[in-house]
Amino acid sequence: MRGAGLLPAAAWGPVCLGLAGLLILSLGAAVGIGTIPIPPEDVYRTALWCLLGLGDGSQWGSGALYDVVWLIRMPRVVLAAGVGMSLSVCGVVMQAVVRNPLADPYILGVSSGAYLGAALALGLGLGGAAMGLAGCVGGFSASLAVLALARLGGRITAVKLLLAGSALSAVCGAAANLTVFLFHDDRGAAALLQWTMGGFGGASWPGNGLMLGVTGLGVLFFWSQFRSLNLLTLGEEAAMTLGLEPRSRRLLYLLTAAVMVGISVYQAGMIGFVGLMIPHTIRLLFGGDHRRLIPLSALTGGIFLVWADVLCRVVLPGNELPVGILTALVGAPVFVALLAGRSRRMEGMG
Amino acid sequence: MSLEVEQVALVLGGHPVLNGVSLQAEEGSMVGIIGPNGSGKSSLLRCMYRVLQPREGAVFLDGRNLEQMTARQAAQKLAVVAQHNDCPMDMTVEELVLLGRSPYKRALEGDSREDRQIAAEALSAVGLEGLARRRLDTLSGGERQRAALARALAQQAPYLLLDEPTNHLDVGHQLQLMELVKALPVTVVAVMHDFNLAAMYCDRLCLMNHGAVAAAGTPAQVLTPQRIREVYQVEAQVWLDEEGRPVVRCLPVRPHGSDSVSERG
Repeated sequence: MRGAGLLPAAAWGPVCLGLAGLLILSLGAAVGIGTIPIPPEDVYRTALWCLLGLGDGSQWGSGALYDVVWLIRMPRVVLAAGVGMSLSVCGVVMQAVVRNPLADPYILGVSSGAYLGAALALGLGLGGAAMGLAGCVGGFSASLAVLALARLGGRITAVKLLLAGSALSAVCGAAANLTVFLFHDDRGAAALLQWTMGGFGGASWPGNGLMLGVTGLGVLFFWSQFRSLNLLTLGEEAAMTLGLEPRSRRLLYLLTAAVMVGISVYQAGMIGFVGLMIPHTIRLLFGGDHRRLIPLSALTGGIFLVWADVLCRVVLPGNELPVGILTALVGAPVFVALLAGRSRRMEGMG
Repeated sequence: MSLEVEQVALVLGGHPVLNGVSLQAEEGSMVGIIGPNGSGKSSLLRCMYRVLQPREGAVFLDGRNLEQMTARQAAQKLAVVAQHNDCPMDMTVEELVLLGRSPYKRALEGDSREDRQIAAEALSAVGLEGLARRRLDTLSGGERQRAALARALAQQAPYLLLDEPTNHLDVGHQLQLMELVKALPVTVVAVMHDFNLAAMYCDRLCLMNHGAVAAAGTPAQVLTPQRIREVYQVEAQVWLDEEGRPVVRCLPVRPHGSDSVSERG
């Protein structure tokens, strides 16, 4: 069967398997790249021993190679993959909820809300898990605030949602910066600055455990909701006449996405436009059916951020580029192009 | 087996939109709702498909209050073709029509062979079988309207609600659509603008004015020159065809003293 994309829709299954394989290869290759190159074979053998207990523990379970591969590089690469999956899928979900391909956790202000939550926690002298939790609560509250703002004066429209998102983004960003300014905490300020630019440098296994758990469950949950997400794209009234309760669904999906984004922001800072670019590309190739869109976007998003992080590590000799800067440099023009194309189409239709 | 609207009152943004409207559609019949712009036709229809909640009164489907049904239960009974069919991003015609099967689907359940068969039949019923793989945003307004009808047909519900179904359609497709809808073994309530189309196909008409029913009955009872003048402020000539159905021609009302105006000009 052919779908709405450039490629045959029936190819999505094999493509998914291919992407899963590519993701595993990318993880190995990305761990191998660094100041000391490590052959992929060694990376996989270490991973096999650490994950499944296969192989020779005395060779792969300790020593310098183990430290570099398993304790330093692997957490970082795995975090990049997890965040990429999470942000892409949240982008897909928000686009369905808002019925607009321009939505993204960053653009709707959910990332900024999470950032503000974490900054407030920092200002109050809380650290670690409390900051992560505050990030989730912040993202959560920002989602609710965006919905409430967009609902002012009646029906939610895409334009009102985008405006509410950018307004909220500005408010949260300013409030977070104010918090940092008032508390005069240089260390905190440096940490927050890193957060606004995004990066995977702070990765560790304990943090990754939570992140991967939430991402995995979130992606599976949204995949299971493919039909409801498809119905939501028809609009509130049509979804209702086809048996969906759109209001409660929309709330459930936004809140789930907020938890996923909150944890991503806590672990890796604000990384924009991934949730915009990846779903857009997948839609172009395979059409808008969420049965295909969710898994394909998750895998592609993971692969994308793994390689974006590699690029950030090697592009400046002796230094590291924050990954949020790279995604914004690539993603913002895509956003503008999408906006321009859309406006042109709208004019043509009017 | 009937659809009953009982004394429905609706207030939107502080303004009364419907004031105690009652309407009944017998099983298998086709009821047309006509009336001037802003008379509450679409609002009445939207109360019938649960998008608007009446302040007073209720809608009963086969004797059951609509408000006590879940969205899913209601969707198995009622299919709707709304006036504005937003065009979702990146969806094919076939994918849209398959969404009509959603009220019967459990979580995680995909489209079965039977669903595809039903969707294909719905598409050929509206004459879009050749466009199944086309993207919705490449269709014309009329094709989109027919795709929305195909989606409603795939729902296989005993009640079909249509809001200006012949909007965007040329005369040939208007008649084709009305013939198709008339031949369906379902109860139809349709908001319509065209008197003649309404008179040709509807068993009963309900004429709305200012949020109330101005007249209800057979087309010949409702479409009289006096009623049309009262409600629409236009003159009308009405004939009855050999089946006793009215044929209406509307003329502008000449304002009093228009002769003196033209003399001055």
